[in-house]
Amino acid sequence: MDNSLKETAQIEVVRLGKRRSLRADVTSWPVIIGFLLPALLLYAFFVIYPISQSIRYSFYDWNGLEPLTQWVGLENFTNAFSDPLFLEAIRHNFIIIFLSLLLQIPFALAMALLLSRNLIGRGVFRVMFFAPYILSDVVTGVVWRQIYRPGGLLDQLIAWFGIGSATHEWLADPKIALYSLFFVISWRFFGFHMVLMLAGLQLIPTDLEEAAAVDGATFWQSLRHITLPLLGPTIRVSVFLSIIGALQLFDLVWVTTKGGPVNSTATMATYLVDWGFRRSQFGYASAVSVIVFGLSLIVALLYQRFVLSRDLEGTITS
Amino acid sequence: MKKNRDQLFARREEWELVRWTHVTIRSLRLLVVIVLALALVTACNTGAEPQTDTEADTSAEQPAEEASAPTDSQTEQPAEEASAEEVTIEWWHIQNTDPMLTLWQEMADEFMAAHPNVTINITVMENEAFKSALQTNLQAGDAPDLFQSWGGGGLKQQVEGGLVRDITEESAGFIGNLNPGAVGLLQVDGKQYGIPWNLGMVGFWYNKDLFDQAGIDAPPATWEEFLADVQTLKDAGITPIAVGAGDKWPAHFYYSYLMIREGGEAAMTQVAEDLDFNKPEFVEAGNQLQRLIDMQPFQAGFLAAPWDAPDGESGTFGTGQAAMSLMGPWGPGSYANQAPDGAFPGTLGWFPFPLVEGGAGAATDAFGGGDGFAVGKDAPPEAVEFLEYITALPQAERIGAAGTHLPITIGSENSVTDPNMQMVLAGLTKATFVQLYLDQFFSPEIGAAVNDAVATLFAGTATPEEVTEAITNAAR
Repeated sequence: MDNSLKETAQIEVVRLGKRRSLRADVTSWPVIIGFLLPALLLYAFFVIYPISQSIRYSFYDWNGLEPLTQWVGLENFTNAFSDPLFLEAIRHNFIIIFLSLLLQIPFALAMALLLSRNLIGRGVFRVMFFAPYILSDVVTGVVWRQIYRPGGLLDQLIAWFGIGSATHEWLADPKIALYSLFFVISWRFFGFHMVLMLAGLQLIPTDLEEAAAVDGATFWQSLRHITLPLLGPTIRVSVFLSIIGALQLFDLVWVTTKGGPVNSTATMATYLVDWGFRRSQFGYASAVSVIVFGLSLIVALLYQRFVLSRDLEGTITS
Repeated sequence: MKKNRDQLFARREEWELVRWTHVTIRSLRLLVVIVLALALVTACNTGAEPQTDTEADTSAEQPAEEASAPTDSQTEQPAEEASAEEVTIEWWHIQNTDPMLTLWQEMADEFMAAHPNVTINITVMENEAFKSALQTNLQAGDAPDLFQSWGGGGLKQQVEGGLVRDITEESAGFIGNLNPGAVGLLQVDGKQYGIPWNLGMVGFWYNKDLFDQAGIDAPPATWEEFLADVQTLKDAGITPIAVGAGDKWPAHFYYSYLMIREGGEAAMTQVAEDLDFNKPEFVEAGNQLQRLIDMQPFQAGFLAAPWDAPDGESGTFGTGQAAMSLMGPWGPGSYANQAPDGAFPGTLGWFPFPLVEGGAGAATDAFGGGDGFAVGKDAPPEAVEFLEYITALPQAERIGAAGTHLPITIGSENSVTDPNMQMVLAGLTKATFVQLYLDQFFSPEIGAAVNDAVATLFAGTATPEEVTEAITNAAR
C-alpha cells in the first residue's frame, strides 16, 4: 500500500517533469528563438560586426581606400598613447565628467527638490527646464555658437548690464572654450537629470518626511538622512548616464567648435573623427575608437560593479 | 483636513507626471513607427521604379482613370526612348551659392533635355560637409559618378584605391580645348581621372572704401608696405584682416604664400620630393607670419571663425567689418551672399600677395588651384560627355560671364568682364609658377598637418620652428 502510493507519486512526478520539459522543448524554444532572432541578427550586424571590424582595422596602417595590407601590430595604439593631442583629448573628457558631477548633477538635484514642492507654476518650470533636452545637439550647437560669437547675444547682454569688460571670446579663446562648451552641455542635459530625480523623489513615501518633521528634524536633516539616501539609486543612475555621455561627447562639440580652437575642446570622439575623415587614416582612427570603446567599457563595468551593485542585483556584473 | 487635500493634490501631480511620461514614450514609439514606415515606403518606391512602365500600361487600359493622366505623361517619355538605356549620373558639387548653383542646374537640365535617357541627380554640399561625406562614401567603395576634386594627393589616394576611372581616351577628343596647366591638376601618372572647369589664384580682396578711410591710396606691393598698411588701418580703428582660422585652410593661405615668396619654385619643388619642411626659408616664412600675427590684425574671435558663415571670414568681410580677406576667386560670391542686401558694401578691389624682399620667390609666383570633377569608378560614359558639355566654349563663357570663377576653356577669356576677375585672370596668365593649395597638394594626412600647424601659429601656441617640425613629423 505504502509502496504503491510511493510509486504512483513517483510516476506522477516523472510524468509531470516530462510534460514540463516536453513543453519547454517543443513549444517555447521556437517561440523564444523566433522572437530573439530578429533582434539578435540586427545586434550582430550593426553592433558586433562593426566593432570586430574596427578591432581588425586597428592593427593596420590603412587610409580607408586601399586594400588592407600593411599590418603594423600595436603601433597605432602606441602612437595614440604617445600623441599629446590624444592625451589632451582624454583629459578634456575627464574634465567634463568632473565638472558634470561637481556642478551639473547637484544643480539638477537642487532644481528637482525645488520643483517637487508645491510651487506656483512648477509645471511651466518643469517644461522649461526639460525643453533643451528635446532639441537636437545640432540645433543646440548652432544656436549657442550665435549666442557666444563676438558681439553676439551674450556679449550684448553683458554690455547691457554695464560690465562690458566681462565680455570674452567665449568659443575662440582656447583657455575658456572648453568651459563655455561645458555650460552648453549642462544647459542641455540638466533638465533630463532633473526629471529623473523628480520621478525618484515621488517614490519616497511622504510619511517618512512627516514622521521626521514630527520628531523635529530640520529641512537639512531630513534631506541628509531621508531624501538623499532614498534617492540614491536615481542619483547613481544619473551619474552613470552623465559619465557615459561625457566619455562619448561628440555632436555638440563638433557642431560648435569642431574641437578647436587649436584642439582646446577636442574630445576623444572628435579626435578620432578628425583622424578618420579629415586625414583619411582609418587604421589609426579605428585604434582610437577601440581605445575609446575599451575605456568606456571599463568605466561602465567598474561603476556597475562597485557603485550600482546594490541597485542591479541579479545582473552579470553584480 | 488641509493636509489631506495637499496629499491628494500631490498624488494627482504624481499621477500626471507618470501619465505625461507615458504619453511621451507612446508618442516617441509612434514617431519611431512613422519613421520606419517612411523608410519602408521610400525603399519600396526605389524598388518599384523600374516597374513604372508596366504600371503605365495597366492604367492606359483603364481610360476611366483620368486622374492618373499626369503620371502617364511622365512615364511615357522614357517608354519612347526604350532603345537608349536609362542612365543615372550622381553628381556632387560644392557650388552652393549663386550664380554657379543655378548655372549648374541649368546645364544639367539642358543636358538631360538633349539626352532623355540620362538623369542627373545633383547633390549640393558645403565645402567641409562635402569632404567628410565623400570620405564616407569612398570608404564604402561607393564613389559618386562625378564629384568635386582639387587633384593632388587626395586624387592620388583615390586612384590608388581604384575609386576613380581613367578617362584619358574618352576625353581625348575635347581635352585639347582646355588649359593644359589646369588639365594637369586632375592627372595622376599622366592619366586623366577628371576634368577641371576653373582655375584661380589666391590674392587679397580688399574694401577700397575702408582703405580710403584710412588714407591708403594704393594697395601694397611688398610685405613691408603691407605690414605698414595693416598698422595704418588699425590706427584708423578698422579691423585690417578677416580670416576664418577655425576652418584652418584660410589661415594656411598666408603661410603657404609666404613659403612660396621665401623659398620660390626651387624650395617648393624640393619639399614635394623630400617632404622635409625644416628648411630655413620656411622657418623664415613662419617668422614673417609671426610678425603679422603679433600686430593682432584679425577680427575678434578669428580662431573659431569658419570661412563661410555670418560669423566667419566671408561674413565679417562681406559686411564691411574688415578691410581685407585672402581668398581665391570664389570669394566675391560668398561676400555678396553674406552682405545684408546681397551686394558688397563698398568697392571691392583685388591685389596679388605682396613680394617679400630678400625671398627667392617672384611677385608673379602664384598660389592657387582649380576645381574639377573626378569621374567615379562606375560612372557611365555619359558622365564624361556631360563634362565635355559643361567645358565646351559656350558653357565656359557663361561661367566666365557669371563672374565668380575663371573658366579654363581656351578662348573663353573674353567672357570675363568683372574688372576684379580680370585682374585675377591677368595674374594667372602672368604667373611664372603656380603652386597648388598645400592641403590638397599633399596627402590628406600631411595636408591636415599643414593646416593644424599653421593654426597653432595663429593661436600663438607654437613657434615657426615648431610649425615646420610638426609638419615634417607628420609627413614621415
